[in-house]
Amino acid sequence: MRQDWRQIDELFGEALALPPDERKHFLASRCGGDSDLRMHVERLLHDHERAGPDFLARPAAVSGHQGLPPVDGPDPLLGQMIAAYTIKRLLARGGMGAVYLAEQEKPRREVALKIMTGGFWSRSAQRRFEFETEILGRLHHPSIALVYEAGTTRLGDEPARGVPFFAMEYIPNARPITGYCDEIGLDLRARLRLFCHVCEAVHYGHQKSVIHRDLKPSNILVDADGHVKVIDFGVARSTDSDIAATTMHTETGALIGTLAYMSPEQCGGASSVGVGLAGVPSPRPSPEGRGGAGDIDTRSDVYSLGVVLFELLTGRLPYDVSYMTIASAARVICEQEPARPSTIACGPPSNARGAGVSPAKLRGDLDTIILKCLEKDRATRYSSVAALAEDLNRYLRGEPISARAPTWWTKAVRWATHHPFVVTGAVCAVIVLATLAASSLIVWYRTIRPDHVVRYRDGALVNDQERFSSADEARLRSSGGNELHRWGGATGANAFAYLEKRPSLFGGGRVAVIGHTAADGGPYAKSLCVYEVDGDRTKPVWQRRIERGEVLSKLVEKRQIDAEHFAVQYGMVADVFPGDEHPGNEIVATFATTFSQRIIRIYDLGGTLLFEAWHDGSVGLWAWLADPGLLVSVGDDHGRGWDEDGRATTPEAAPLVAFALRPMEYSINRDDYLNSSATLAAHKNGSGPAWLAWYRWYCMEGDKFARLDAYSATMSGIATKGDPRRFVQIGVIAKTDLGNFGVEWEIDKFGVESPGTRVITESYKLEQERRRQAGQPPLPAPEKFRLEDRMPGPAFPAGNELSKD
Amino acid sequence: METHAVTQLLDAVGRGDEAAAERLWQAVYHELHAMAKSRMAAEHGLRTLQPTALVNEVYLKLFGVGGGDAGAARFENRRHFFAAAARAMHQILVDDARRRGRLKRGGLARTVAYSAECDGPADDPTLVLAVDEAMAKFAQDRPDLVELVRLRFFVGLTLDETAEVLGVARRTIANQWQVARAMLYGLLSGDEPQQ
Repeated sequence: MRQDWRQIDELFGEALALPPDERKHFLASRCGGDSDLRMHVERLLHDHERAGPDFLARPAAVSGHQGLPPVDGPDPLLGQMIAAYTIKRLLARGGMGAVYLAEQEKPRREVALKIMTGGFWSRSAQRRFEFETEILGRLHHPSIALVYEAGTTRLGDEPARGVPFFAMEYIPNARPITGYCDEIGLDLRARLRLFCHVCEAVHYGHQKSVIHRDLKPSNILVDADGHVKVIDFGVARSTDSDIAATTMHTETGALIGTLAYMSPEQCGGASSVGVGLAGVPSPRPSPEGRGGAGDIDTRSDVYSLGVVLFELLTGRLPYDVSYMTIASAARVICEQEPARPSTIACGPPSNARGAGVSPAKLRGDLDTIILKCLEKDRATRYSSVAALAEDLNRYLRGEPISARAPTWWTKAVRWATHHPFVVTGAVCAVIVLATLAASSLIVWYRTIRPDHVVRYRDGALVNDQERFSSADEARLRSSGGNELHRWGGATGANAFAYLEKRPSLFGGGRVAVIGHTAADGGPYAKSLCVYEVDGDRTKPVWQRRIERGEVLSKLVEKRQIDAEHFAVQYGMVADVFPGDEHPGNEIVATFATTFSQRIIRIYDLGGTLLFEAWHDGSVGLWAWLADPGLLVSVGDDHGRGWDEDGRATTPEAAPLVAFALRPMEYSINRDDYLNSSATLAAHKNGSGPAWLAWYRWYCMEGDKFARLDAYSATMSGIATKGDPRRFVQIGVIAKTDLGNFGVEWEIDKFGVESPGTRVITESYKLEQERRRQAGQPPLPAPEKFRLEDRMPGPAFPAGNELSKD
Repeated sequence: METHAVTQLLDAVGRGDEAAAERLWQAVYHELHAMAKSRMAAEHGLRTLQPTALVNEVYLKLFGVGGGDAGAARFENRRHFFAAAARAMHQILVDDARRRGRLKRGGLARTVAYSAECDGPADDPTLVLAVDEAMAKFAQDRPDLVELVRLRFFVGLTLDETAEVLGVARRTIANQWQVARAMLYGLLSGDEPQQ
């Protein structure tokens, strides 16, 4: 023998994958002159063809005893008479009994005599058998093997037991449909046409109210002329030999052969019966009481036909249940989704049955048709065999088929229906996990997320409402209450911008701190330092401090400010314009020099100086007047007065200065400022107590310092609690000859500007009424007051006008 | 036989120890034979034993159930075990077929012309014997095919299982199986290939 087996194996494999008529050419080209090699491969191919798909397809089995008739010794039935039939020879042996070729006397003909030796036979079952077989006799269809007679007979030495038998039409040289197709080498269309004949026959039976129940290739025969003959129609029912009965009395191997073609509903009881088998076999329930019989309908035959069609086109079964226990095979049939036929046919040519059918032809419609037959839920199968046949015919005619491939959603729902506990568990687990994850995330997020700054003085929380008070420590907290950072901790006046809530509201932010390192005189002493709330909270992103050179020259002259004496003593810091509509992008800081000047500076959050103004004397508080868009600062230095040059005068003058600034004006001409600084005088209404006074208001307009004649403010301290200077009511009142009218803003005693408290004063209403009656144009609405809307200056209390202009 | 003893045997076989292979085979054969016999005695109606199930049971019996410590070693040794088991199964089936053949016909049919007419399981003792006899003819040249036929035909493993046990690609196994079938068929059908 040759030694180069590998080469032979390979050539053989490659040739096998080719259509038969191309193999010769292939070998000729591949073997070249090596006739020996070629001969070997050709011989293998030849033998392969002759062997057919079934050769060694079933493994050898250990054989032992079996029921009647015994395998050892000659079959005792041979030559015997059963009813009117003389048994001639054994045709086949199956799980339920044996089929013999027998001869009938009258009419003289050969019949196939099926003797059901496997079943258990009771009186009631016998009555049922007789009833059912009568119906079978009425089936006359060219593609259904005729049942000539059915009855019971007594076998050998068992007189008490009647054994059912069927005398059926004998079909000489009949072959199972699968074997026939492969042998003849039918192509796809021929196979389908043949299969349609099978469908016609089964449908005919259904119309006669007979369900086949045991459709499988060995029951679908093709005779020598190529005609389909369906045998054993309804036999399973009439002998009550469905799976429940079969499993109890026949061996596993034979049943498995049938099981592969059984529908899930037919197998439904199988697993439980199989389990029962392993334990104590329960006595068989009466046929009437058995649920299985009623559960099976024509769609069960549709399923079995689907399996046969699957096998016919692919050469394989949808599920490989051979060598499984009954229970697990039944479970596979009931639960496992079948593979698409087109993917099966793609496999290696080991099972050469479907060789005539290329997988590409199965893809699409045929896949859909077959899988629709194999649906686990019969409601989604073809409703009848006729519908199946009709779809196959449509396919053959090239028309669109009625079946639709199930969508992935349908498949998912189906899977979920079959695994309710898994799905419920998974869904619960997902919900629980998601909830846990979400809550942990929220907790974690709240823990690390900067939220607000709280200020402390001497270890005690500074009342939030005391927004302008100084503190020696500021702590940044998360919304969960965690302390994320602390600034200060030093003695001295530190001030922290009022940035509470800002970081969380506006996605991060900055916090401004003045002089928090005063204690050790470090580089940030009396500086305005701004830190990233979300970033490094130990290093300022920018810092500003007042240098001597920044002091206005005139002030320097007056005060003899020199490097030695100059120092920034303390500061105040506030952010302006906080509010829902205007988040505030500016930081207002006041620095105090050793010479009692104050400088108000407005920075944006990036550290750019937007505005600065020198204030001679202290600045006690400030407020943002939203409507005119002004920052109002009020000097609270009662002990001083100012002359034209801003020089302190006698304490008796004791003016209160209200100073209005437009923060968005970017620059100021210092000279202009100094020139007009003479107007930095306050007027006190001569009458009344000190805390009830009129003040002039000024503002910067462009680079000009302008007096706001139209604006005035009342400031009424309510000195009931704490520092009276902080509890103010500010009203901006348009002053006209007619009197004061306008809009008031109220800052309550806690310093919080309360919205919606603007009131129109009585005099405004009176003026409007007067104008209306006089036919004069009305006054503009107070809400629209701007600098442009200024009205002519009022008659200010005489003698108090210090202004130059 | 103790589990660890079998494991040691398997290790020895893995190292190429011929004597160990023989002892392993005997151990497996002993177990398989006893199990098959008891099965047939216990279940009167059971005609067909499933060799795959038997082999699996023997495997579990020899290696114990549930112990996970030697898992890796076992997996390594699966091939040796299956080789031994396949040989044992082969022997058991041939013995059984001889016995049955003797009972039935009083002798062996030397060559069997196989026909695929019968769709039943391959319980024909003559086929087993014929295959056994034909296998012997190429055992010298194609030991790989012999092992394959044992696993596929005598034990009844599927192509996938066979490929897994032998550690060979499924494609290769599928092709070799076709070769083996063709060769066996050629031998069984009587006309010897020209040398």
